[in-house]
Amino acid sequence: MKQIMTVFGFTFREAVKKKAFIISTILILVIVLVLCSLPQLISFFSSKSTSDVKGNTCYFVDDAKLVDGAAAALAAKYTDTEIVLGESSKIEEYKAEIKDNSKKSMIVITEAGGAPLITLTTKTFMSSMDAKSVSELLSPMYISKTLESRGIDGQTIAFSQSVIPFKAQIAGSMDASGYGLGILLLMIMYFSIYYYGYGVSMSVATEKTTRVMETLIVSAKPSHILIGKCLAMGSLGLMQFSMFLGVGVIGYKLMIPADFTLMGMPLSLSAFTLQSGFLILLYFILGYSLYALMNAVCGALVNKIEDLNSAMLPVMFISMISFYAGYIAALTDTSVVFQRITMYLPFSSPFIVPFKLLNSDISTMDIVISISALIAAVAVVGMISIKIYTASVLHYGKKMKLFDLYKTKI
Amino acid sequence: MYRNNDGGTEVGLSVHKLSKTFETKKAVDQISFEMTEPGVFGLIGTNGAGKTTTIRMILGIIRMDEGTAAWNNAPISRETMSFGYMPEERGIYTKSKVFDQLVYFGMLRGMNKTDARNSTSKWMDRLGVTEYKDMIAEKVSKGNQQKIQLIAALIHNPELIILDEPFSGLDPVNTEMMSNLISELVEEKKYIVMSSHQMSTVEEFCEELVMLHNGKTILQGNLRKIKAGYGHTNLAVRTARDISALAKESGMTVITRHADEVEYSITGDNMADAFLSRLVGAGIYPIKYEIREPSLHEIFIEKAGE
Repeated sequence: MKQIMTVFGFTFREAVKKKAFIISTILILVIVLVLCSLPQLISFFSSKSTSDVKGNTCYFVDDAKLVDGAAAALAAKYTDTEIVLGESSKIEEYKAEIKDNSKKSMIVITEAGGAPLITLTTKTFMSSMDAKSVSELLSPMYISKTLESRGIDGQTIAFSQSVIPFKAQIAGSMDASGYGLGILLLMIMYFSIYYYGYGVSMSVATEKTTRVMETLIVSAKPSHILIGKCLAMGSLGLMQFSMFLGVGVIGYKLMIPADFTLMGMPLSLSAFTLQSGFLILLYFILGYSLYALMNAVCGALVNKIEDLNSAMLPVMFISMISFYAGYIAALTDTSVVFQRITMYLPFSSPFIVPFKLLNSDISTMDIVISISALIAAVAVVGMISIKIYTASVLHYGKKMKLFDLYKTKI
Repeated sequence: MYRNNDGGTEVGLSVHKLSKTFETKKAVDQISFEMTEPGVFGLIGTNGAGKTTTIRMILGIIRMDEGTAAWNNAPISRETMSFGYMPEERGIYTKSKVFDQLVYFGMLRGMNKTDARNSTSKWMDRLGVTEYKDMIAEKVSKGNQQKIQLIAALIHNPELIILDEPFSGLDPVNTEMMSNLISELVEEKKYIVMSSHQMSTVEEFCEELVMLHNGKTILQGNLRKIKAGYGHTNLAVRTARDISALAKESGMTVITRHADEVEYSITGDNMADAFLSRLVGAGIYPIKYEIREPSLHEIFIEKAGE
């Protein structure tokens, strides 16, 4: 234990002192603060944009006056767009303007088969106007006018255009806030597990390629070195992550208005509870341990530091496939079997279960099975990794296959 | 100390029939030796002879296929004994401060932080590298990096010190420093196993040795006795005149020829006496006339060439 703590202390101190760590920490803290101040920035800029400054122009051509009051309705709906009444003789001229300017567009209403046809012209398909919404706006107006001209009374016309009232209900407990935070957490988990696991493999590879390992290995058991390193990098990750989280929470409390919504979703940390926080931390530790142990073996396999990335490819593939499996399970309505597989599989559970925890979309039994499988996987992978690590750290020269390393008598 | 299997000599380090095969190559084949007294034991041979593999097996870095290695009659392990090891491939943390990593190595060998710091300071002072204590290791010269590596091996005051090619890559000044340090360690009654392919350095320090060639022991024992067993086989002569014709007539062959000195192979003292009489008879008085045993280098060449 003393040796593990010695390796832990040295690795941790050396990693904290690295410029890359200091710069990345400061940079991410700044990004967190900037993100927290986004609502203020958005409201600042949106208050400016609510002024009468109209950035877009839309030529409206309806020579036959097929839809009465269309120009006014369009102006009322598209407040950032100036509706300019145009002439059909200048349509080609307007088109030429639109081709060179994404802020310009044109709506032409012509008659086709006894009914109006709306043609919207924009520079690209990404314009803020779309033909469907223009049609949805103008259709009731046209229908009202037509019915009125045929002697239908106003009450009937109004009734014919009424919409059946509706409301959406969610049977589960997933709300927009939990969903958003869950997706964010899923990505943070993947990034953290990958980044700090990479730190372990880099540290091992450096010790091997600089030949420090031969000095270390006569002083400490390989398993102690491996565990000490994994613990150090994991703690470093937790420390850094806690700093980001701490600054994020302070920023959230001080800078984000209580009623702030992002794309219609309220931003709230209410999905975080003490229990979910503890379990998320546990999943981070176990998930990180699983990948860090495998990454340590990758570091021990290389003779040159530049070979590290190619040695890490198998682990990278496993982590990417597992991440996307978790991501798909979180984002889409996949089958129960697929959801269970991703929750129980030790490689993907650290990504998907925290999401499920934040949305209370997982049973206690599923959590127990998932954590048990993850602990068992860490133990098995740990034992195999220590054996391969011990065999490979002092192997230089010809590349050894994993199976050869495992069966090597050392 | 313990009594060996014969119930005779007390020994510190005992290596018995060590063997190791890598794939199809037998790297070390049944090597045995004992180190019964403090001093320097030589493990000599060319590159690839099996010296480093033998050391790694003794220290438990790699597992031996056969044999045993014991210190005071107990298997050698990092947990049960104190040994210091300077590997052939020098390795230090290039991006870490010199002092910090030496303290780390000391703590890994079981020292507490205070002792490790004190010992590091003492050794850095002793080897004259104190000025580099707060420097990143990669900014220190190669010679000084080697001193740092040596401190890592000695920091915890080990009983047994294993130095793998300690003189490799050293300049004359650092060679002298290393020689002095080894002499001091011998005076401190340390047990030192030193591997080298430089026979002259081994000859300077070692009383006992094992000579390896292709993983096998080709010579073993007390250096003085080995040399004495060969008798006087070399004659070094320096004269003012050319004596090659006389030497040829006397049946002597040249071993080495320098600018002002020639070394001949002789069959014994009688041959040297007869040749001296012949020189004096010809009016040639040697400036140098030295009869000696063969050098370790010559013995090795003879043995390895067999």
